[in-house]
Amino acid sequence: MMRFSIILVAIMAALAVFLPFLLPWDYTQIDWDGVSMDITSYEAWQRGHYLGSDDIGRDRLARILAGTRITMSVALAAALVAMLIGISWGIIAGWIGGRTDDIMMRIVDALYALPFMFIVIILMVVFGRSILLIFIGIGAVEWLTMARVVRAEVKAIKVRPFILAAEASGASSLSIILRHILPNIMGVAIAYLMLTVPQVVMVESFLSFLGLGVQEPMTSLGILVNEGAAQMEINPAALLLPGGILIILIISLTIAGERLRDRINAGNIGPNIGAS
Amino acid sequence: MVRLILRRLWMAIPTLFAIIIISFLLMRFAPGGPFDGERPLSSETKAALENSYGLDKPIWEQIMLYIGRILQGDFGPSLIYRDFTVNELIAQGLPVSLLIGGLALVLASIIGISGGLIAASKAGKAIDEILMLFATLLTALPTFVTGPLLVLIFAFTLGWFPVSGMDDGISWLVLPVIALSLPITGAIIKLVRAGLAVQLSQDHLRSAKARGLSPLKRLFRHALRPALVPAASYLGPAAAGLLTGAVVIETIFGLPGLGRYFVQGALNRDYPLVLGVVTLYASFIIAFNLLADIIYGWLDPRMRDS
Amino acid sequence: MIYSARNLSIGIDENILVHDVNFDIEAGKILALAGASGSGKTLTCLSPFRLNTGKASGSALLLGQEIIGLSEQILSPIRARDVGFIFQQPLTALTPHLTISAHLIEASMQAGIIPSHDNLITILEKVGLSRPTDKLRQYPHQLSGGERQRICIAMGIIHNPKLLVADEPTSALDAELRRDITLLLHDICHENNMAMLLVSHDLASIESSADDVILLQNGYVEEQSSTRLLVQKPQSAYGTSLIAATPRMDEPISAILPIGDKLLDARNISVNFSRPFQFFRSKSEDNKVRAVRNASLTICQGETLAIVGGSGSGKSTLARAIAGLGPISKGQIYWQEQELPIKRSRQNRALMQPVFQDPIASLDPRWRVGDMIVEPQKYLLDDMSDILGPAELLLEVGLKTEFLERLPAQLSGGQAQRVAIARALSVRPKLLILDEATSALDPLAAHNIVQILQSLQEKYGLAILMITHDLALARRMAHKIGVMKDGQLVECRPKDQLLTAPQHDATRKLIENSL
Repeated sequence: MMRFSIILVAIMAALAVFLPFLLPWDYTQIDWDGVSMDITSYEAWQRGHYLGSDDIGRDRLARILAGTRITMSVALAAALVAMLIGISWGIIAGWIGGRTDDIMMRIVDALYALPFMFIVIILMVVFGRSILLIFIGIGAVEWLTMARVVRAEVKAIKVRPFILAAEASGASSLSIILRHILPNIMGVAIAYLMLTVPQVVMVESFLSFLGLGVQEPMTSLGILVNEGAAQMEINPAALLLPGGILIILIISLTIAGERLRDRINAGNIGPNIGAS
Repeated sequence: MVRLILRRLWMAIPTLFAIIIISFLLMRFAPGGPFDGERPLSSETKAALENSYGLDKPIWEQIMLYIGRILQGDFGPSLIYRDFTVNELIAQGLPVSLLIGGLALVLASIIGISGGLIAASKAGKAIDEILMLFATLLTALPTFVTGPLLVLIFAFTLGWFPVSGMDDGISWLVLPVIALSLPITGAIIKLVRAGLAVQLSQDHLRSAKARGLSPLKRLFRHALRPALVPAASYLGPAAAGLLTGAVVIETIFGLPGLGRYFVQGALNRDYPLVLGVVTLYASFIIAFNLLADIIYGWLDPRMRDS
Repeated sequence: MIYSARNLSIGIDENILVHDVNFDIEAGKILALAGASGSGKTLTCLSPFRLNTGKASGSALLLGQEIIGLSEQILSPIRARDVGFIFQQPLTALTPHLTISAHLIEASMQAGIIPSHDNLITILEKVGLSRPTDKLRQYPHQLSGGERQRICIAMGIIHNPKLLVADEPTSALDAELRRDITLLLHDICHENNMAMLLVSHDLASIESSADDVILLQNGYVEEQSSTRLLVQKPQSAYGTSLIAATPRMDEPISAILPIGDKLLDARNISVNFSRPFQFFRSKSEDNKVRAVRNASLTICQGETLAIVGGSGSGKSTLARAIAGLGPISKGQIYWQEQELPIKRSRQNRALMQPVFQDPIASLDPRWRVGDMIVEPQKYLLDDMSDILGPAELLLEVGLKTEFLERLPAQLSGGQAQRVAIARALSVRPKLLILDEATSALDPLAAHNIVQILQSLQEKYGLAILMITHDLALARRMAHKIGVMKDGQLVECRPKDQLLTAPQHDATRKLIENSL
C-alpha cells in the first residue's frame, strides 16, 4: 500500500512536470476558436484539447497539470519550511529543557489556540497574494505540530542512558545533538513531514479556492475546483477532474505517511487527522 | 482540577489579547484602506470618514479604544455594510453558523465514536480495514471538493435537497451539515480506534480478562473511557476545523453565516467586522480547549491530579 | 490435587517454545517456575488459561477438569471462579478510571459473590493495607506501587479461589518490598489452603516461599525438585551454575585483592533538585528536593566500593555527581589530592568512566559497536600512541571481532553490557562507576560481567564504585560497603565489619531483608 501510494505520487509528479512539453497548448494560452469544448467532443481532440477546454478557451489538461505542479511544489516547500522551523524549535526546547522549554512550549500552545486559518487569510489579504507568502504562511502554521513531535522525541531520547554515555565520553552538546539526537529523530521527523505535505496541499487549495491563494495566470488545483464548482451543472468534468486528482494526491500522501509512521513505530505522532 | 481550569483560563486571556492586537496591527498596516473604492473619494470626504470611524488617531490609542469597547461587548460599526453594526451582523450570522457547526459536531461524534468502536473490536478483520480506509478517505477529502460533489449528486442529479440557500424546513440543512462533518468524522474514527488499540493492549485489560470479564464488558467498562482521551483533546482542533470548514460551506451553499461575513470583510478590509469575527472565533477555540480539559478529567482521574 | 500438568507444551504459531512440563500442586503448596527471561516460564503459567498468545497442548487439570481445548466462553467463568491471577506490573494492572472498591467488587461479582462493605475492608486488612476505608474510595494512581500490588493480591483472593497464579509478582517492586510481598503470598496460601503457581526469576524469593521448583531453560525442564534440594545440592549442570552465579548472604567471603593508594576523595557531597516550575505554588512549599545530603567517601586504587540502598535513596544521584554527569550542589571531590572542578576537563573525564543499568539503552541504536567503543578516545585522549583499538577492546571483555559490525539491537543484554564496558575501558580510566550494571541481566550473564570486572580489576588495578540494591552481590564483589537511606550515606565501612556489626537501623533492615 505504501509503495503503491508513493509510486502514484511519483507518477503524478512526473506527469505534471514532463507531460506539458508534449501538449500542443500552454496552460495560459487562449484558443479563441475552442471555447468551452466538451471532453467527449471529437473536435476537441482534433484541436489538441484532450480533456476539453474551459470557458475562455484554455486547455483543461494543460491547466490541470500546471495546477498539480504548483500545488505539489508549494506543498513540498511549505512542508520543508515547517520541518526546518519545527525541528530547530523542538530540539532547542527539548534539549535545554527547564524554563526555556516551558516558555517555548507555552508559545506553541498559545499559537495553537489561534484561529490560524484566519490569520493566514488576513496575511494574504494584507500583503498581497504571492506564492512565497503562501508557503511561508502555511509553513508557519504547520511547524507547530512538528515542534511538539520533535520536542517529545528529544525529551524521550535525552534521558536514555546512551546520551549520558556520550556525555561521559566527552562529547559536547553540539556533537551530541548532531551525532546522537538528530539521527535518532530523523525517522520520526520524515514520517511527520510526509503527513504534513497532504495537509499543506489541503490548506493551499483551500486558500486558492477562496481566491486568496495562487493568482492568475498561475493556477492550482484549488482554483480549478472553484472554477469547476461554478459550472458543474453544465460541465461536471470541470469539477470532477481536478477534484479527483486533488483527492487522489491527498489520499496517497496520507496513506504513505501513515504507513511510514507505523513502520518506524513513531507513537509520538498520533493518527493523522487532517488539516484544521 | 479547578486549579487546572483556572490556570487555563488565566493563560487564555493574554492569548486572546495577543490575537486581537496582532490582527488589529496586520489590518492597519495593510496597504489600502476601506475607502479606497473604485470611485475615488475627495480627500476631505475621506478625512471626515476616517475621523468619524476614529482611523486618524495614533495606532495604540485605537487599539486601547477598541479593546475597551470589546470589553463592553461592542464591536463597532461595519465599514462595508454601512447600515449595520458588527454586533448586528454577528447576531445575524452566528445562529446559522452555530446550528450547522453544532449539528455537524454531534453527527461526527456519534458516527466517529461508533465507527472507532466497531473497528477496534474487530481489529485486524476486513471490517476494520474498510472502516480505517474510509476514515483516511474522509480526512483526506477537502470540504470544498465534497461540498460541490454532494450538491452535484444529491441536489442537481437526484433533486433530493435544495441546491443552496435556507428556508423554513430542515432539508436545506442536510447537505451542509454532512459536508462539514465528514473530515471530523474521519478524524474521530481514527482517534477512537487508536485510543482503543492502545488501551486494549494494556495490562489492566489482561487483568480484566483474567477475572473472567466478557470481551464487550472489557471494551465498555475498562477500555472505552481512557481511550476517548485523544478524541477529547481533538475538540479544540475540531472547533477550528468546523470554523474554517464553515467558511467554505457557507460560500458553497450560499448561507448567511459568520464565515461568509468574515471572507467578505477580509476581502474588503472591513477591520471591525474581521476583528469581531476573529475575536469570536478565538474565544470559541479557547472555550473548546477548556471543555476538552474538563472532559479529560472525567475520562481519566489521573488528569485531575496533575 | 488442585492443579496438574501432564506433557504440557506451549507453542506460538508453529514453534514449540515449551516442551513437556509435568507437575502437581496440592492445596496449601507453592510451586515455583524459575528460569532466565525467554525460558518459557510465563508461557507455561499463563497459556493454559488463554491469557497470552501461547497455545497449550498436552493436559492441564484444574480440580480434575481438563482446561486445555476449552472455548473462551467456558474457560472464562472458570478463571473468574476458581483461579486468582496476579501479574508483574502493579502500576498498570488496575483500570485507571475505576476506584479500588469498584475493582474489588467486580472481581468478587465475577465469581458470583456480592461482597459487603465489611468484606472489602477485611480483605484489604488481610493484604496488609492501612486505612482501608480511605483506600476503597481512591483511584489506582493515588497509591504507591507496593500498595497497588497488595490491591492486586486482594483482587486475586477475594473470591477464595482454589489456585493462585502469580506471574513475577515482585519483580517490578523495590528490593525492600519484594520480601514483604513474597511473605504475604506465602502466608495467604497457607492460611487459606490455596495452591499457588509462582513464576519468578529471583531465586531469593523462591527460596523464601516455594515448596517445589521447576527450573526451565530454553523451554526445557532442566531440574525439578524441592526448593531446599535445588539450593543445597543442584543435580543438573544448569542448576549448579545458576546457584553458583547467584550471590548469597551465607556464602563464604572470597579472598579479596589488595588495594593501593587513595585515588578519589569525595567530601560532604549534597545534591538538591529544584521542583519543576509551577504556576501556582503555595509559599510554604519548599522548592528543593534533597536527593543527597552530606555524603563523604574515599576509593583507593584496586578497591571496590559498593553503595547499597533502595530506590529513591539517592545512590544513583551520588554516583552521577561523582562521575561529573549530574548536578552537585555542595561539597568537593579530590582526585589524588587535587580538587576536580565542577565542569570536568577532558583529562578529568578520562579518569573515570560510567557503565549503566540498561545495557541496550546505553548504546546509541544507530551506531555500530566498532565506532561506539572508540568514541570516548576521540574526545578525551591527547596521546593516541598506545591506545587499544576496537578489536583489542572487545577482546578485553571476551567478545570476538565479528561483533565490531553489529548494531545494539543485534546484541543480547550481556553482550551489550560487555560492549559498554569496552567503551568505558577505551580511555584507560582509573575508576569505573557502575550504576546497577548487572541488575537488568539474567543471573548467568550477570555473573559473567562480574567475573570480567574482577579480572580487569586484577589486571589494571582498576578502582570500582558500584551502585546496587543487592547486598549479597555487594558482599561478593566489594571491599567496602556504604549504605544509603533517604539521601544520607548512613554507614560506609569495610564489608566484614559492616555486615557483622551493623551500626545503623537501615543497615540492619537491609541485612534482614537480604537473608
